[in-house]
Amino acid sequence: MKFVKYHISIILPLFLLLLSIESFFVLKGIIDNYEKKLSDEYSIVVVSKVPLDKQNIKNDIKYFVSLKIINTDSLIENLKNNIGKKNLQKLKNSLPLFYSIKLNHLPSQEELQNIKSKLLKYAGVERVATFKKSYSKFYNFLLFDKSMLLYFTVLVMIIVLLLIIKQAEVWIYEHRQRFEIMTILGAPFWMKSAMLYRVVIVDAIISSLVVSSLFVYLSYDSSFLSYILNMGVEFPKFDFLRDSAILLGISILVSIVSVTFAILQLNKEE
Amino acid sequence: MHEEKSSVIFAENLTLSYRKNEPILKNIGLNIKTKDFVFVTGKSGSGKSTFLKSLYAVLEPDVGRLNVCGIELDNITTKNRNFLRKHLGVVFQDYKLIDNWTIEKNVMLPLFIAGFSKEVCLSQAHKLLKHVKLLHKADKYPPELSGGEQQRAAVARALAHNPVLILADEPTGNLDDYSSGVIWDLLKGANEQLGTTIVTVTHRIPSLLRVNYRHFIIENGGMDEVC
Repeated sequence: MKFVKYHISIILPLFLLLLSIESFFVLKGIIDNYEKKLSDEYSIVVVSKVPLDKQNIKNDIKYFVSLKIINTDSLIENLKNNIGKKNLQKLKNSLPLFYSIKLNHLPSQEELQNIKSKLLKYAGVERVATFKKSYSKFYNFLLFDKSMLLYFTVLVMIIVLLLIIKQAEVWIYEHRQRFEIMTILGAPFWMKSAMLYRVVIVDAIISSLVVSSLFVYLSYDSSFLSYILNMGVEFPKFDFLRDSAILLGISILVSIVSVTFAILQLNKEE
Repeated sequence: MHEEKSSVIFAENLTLSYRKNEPILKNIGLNIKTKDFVFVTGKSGSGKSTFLKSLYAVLEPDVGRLNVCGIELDNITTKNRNFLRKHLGVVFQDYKLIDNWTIEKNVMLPLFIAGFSKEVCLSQAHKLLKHVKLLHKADKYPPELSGGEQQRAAVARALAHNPVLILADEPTGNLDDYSSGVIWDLLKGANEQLGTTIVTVTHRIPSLLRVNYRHFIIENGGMDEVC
């Protein structure tokens, strides 16, 4: 029982920490996927009296990917039955040029404003339509979630660090006699603390495996995936080797830093 | 007084204190050589244990010089402190054995710290446990042993790595006459057969101990040798 309690007191906070970190990464992945989808669909429409120079735009807008002229023939074709041939030709001649500009990412409102004002300065440009509002509601909600989760993760990280340091202090108190005797006999720092490091490393491995397994399960759970898809977003694939290694690295780092901090405190007292 | 090659402990004008301007011991000078068997006596609170603590670098000199086993203890580094302690054997009144380790593992500890292999540690521990007549209790834990047996195990641990110097703080303070006799015999054996220098702090010198010893008395913050 004591053995289980011994380990649970470290595994549980580490599990919470890794869970919030991985949730943050997953949400970031969801937002990145969604952002890519939006930016693929998104374009700025420019109305100009004169042809635009692609190179000029490329130099002015760093997110620029492509400039395409929008063909107006099909629109004019629709008016064929209502307007006479002569007037139709007149209309065709007086119509400005319509361009679609693709960007390599979905710009923020500020960036968009900047792009718009640059485009409006070009000679002949009459109007720039950004259509940003219709895209941004859900996206902004996701961005808000992401920043909230980041704050939450940092908060959990601080609490976990404090919890592990406290637990290490309890262990050190329990093993004070051993620490003291080994110090008198000239044992080096690593030897005195080896047992504590062994325990936290084992616990770090266990907690990262539990969190990794949970996310592997989620990335294959059809009902969960369809729920996410219904929201119009895509659940990022959990790369077991890479993501588990990251989680393991973080949990080992956090536990080692906490235990070292507690041991150094004890050494200072001695 | 001059430091010699054979000096194991050399102190000159040594002052020790826990708090500034409140010295426990003042202007101590002594020269303890290899194979010396030294008793340090004095009243309770006179500073006997403080003196002993300074020898295994728990307390650094305030003023003066203290050299133990060739290492200057003034402003000693952690590395040198560990190095010194690895070459000392220590015996305490309260035994200071690790309760949740077997007697065998306790005796092996200084050898582990010195970096010997597990096989060497084990065979040396068995040899010493046999010497202190505790081999049959090698797998027992300290709380399962009597006070005398625990102190014999502590002496075995102190001897495990063939130290140059053994420091003993009231080693028989908690023991009956018989067990005390056994402990003094073990320390005497180490001194005579292995040439280990013994410095022991005690209330009184055992009357039945047949050994050539030096006797220092701590009184009024000073230390004098009784001739």
